[in-house]
Amino acid sequence: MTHSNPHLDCVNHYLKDLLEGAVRAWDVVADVTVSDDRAEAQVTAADGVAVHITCRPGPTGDWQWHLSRLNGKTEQPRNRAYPSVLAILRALREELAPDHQVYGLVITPRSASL
Amino acid sequence: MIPVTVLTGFLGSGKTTLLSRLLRHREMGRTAVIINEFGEMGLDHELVETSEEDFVELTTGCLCCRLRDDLVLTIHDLLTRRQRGEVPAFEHIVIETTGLADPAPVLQTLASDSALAAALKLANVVTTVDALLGLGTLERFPESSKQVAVADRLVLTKTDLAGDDAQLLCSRLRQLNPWAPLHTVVSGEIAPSVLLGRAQEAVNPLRWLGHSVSSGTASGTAVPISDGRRSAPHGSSIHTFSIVRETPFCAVTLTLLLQALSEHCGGNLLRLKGIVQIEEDPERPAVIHGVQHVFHPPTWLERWPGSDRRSRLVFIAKSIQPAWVTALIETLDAEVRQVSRLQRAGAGAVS
Repeated sequence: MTHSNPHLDCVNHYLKDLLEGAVRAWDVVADVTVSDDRAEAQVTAADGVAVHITCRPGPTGDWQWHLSRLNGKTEQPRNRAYPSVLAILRALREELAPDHQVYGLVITPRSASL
Repeated sequence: MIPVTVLTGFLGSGKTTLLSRLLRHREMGRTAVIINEFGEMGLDHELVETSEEDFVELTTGCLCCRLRDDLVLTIHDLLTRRQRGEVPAFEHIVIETTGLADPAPVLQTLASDSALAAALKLANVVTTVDALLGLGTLERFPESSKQVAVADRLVLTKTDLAGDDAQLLCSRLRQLNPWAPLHTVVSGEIAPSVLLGRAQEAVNPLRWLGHSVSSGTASGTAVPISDGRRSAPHGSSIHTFSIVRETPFCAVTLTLLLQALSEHCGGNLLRLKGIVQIEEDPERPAVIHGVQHVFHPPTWLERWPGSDRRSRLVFIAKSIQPAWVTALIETLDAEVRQVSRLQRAGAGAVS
């Protein structure tokens, strides 16, 4: 491992399951390959869309997710940074499944009715 | 709080027959019945004997599709008439869905209307299954699988006609729904308690949890239980699984998890129940319960019901992988803890 940050260690460990499960939840057929020693992955959908994702450590113990859309071997100038797991999953969904129906969490007024 | 039973089951599975017989029992005397029929002309209500003023028919649509607003208005109207003394003071409501209904949106409707949520509590979801045709129906019609998957109780009908497939059907039902008690109708008779149920029993996820994780493997992290009770992949993509976690959840992690599940797979999350150890209050377990993207605020128990203090989440879902849920939990939790560490470090530097 090239870092000892427990957060990034965790991301690195679970990244493949995180991304594979997400594309499955969106009913997208995609291949997910991850780096062995870094929190880095490439997601290639059956329709040809390919996305590169990393989670990089920052200088003060923080981190930042990055997402780049790939076109063949040419990285498009769309490298964007995201602050959290939820944000990077949203960004990935926008790239791979923009028409996927999105729901907002609804908390009912009481706890006993459901 | 008036208990509500949702009676569902595929076309021809015997819902109306069951309801008709049950309504003859004295215990069912103070029951209001709402029947949803699909088609221009409803017939089922003609087959159910009940006092007219307690009976409502919803036709030309399906509760899970077009009539959800109608259902809300109908129940509001019933409750208003009850309050005014215009109908007998019914003590229970039974909603019979169409045979093609997906029950999850119906449950969601009952939960998401604030006025109804204040007046009603879900007692039971009862699903009838035809012992003769049920196996084929489950294979061909996803609605049928959903009806079985969300049930609190399963009622096997037409058992006198069942053939060699009965055992296979029971196995399939157990795969789709390992925890719902399976009742068999004998000569058309069944106790009213099957339908009326006991609200606390149905609502209490501990009953689910007791079934689904009793032999669960303890682990230092979240693990899906692979104990043979998950559904086979063929026939239906609906499956059930459990996540067990020894490490307590940060409250924020749990909220983010529910947000992520709702956002990315709300429509495919048929039901989620769980008992969760929250780090901020570990002595009092939080009970969570949701249908699709609609969740209740956690109910806090006074104490753990047993010695097992692991968090346990039980899912009925479609296209949701246990490994993904585990990955979500762990990465969200790591993120929350890292933010907390950075905030503490920042506060320390400032002071």
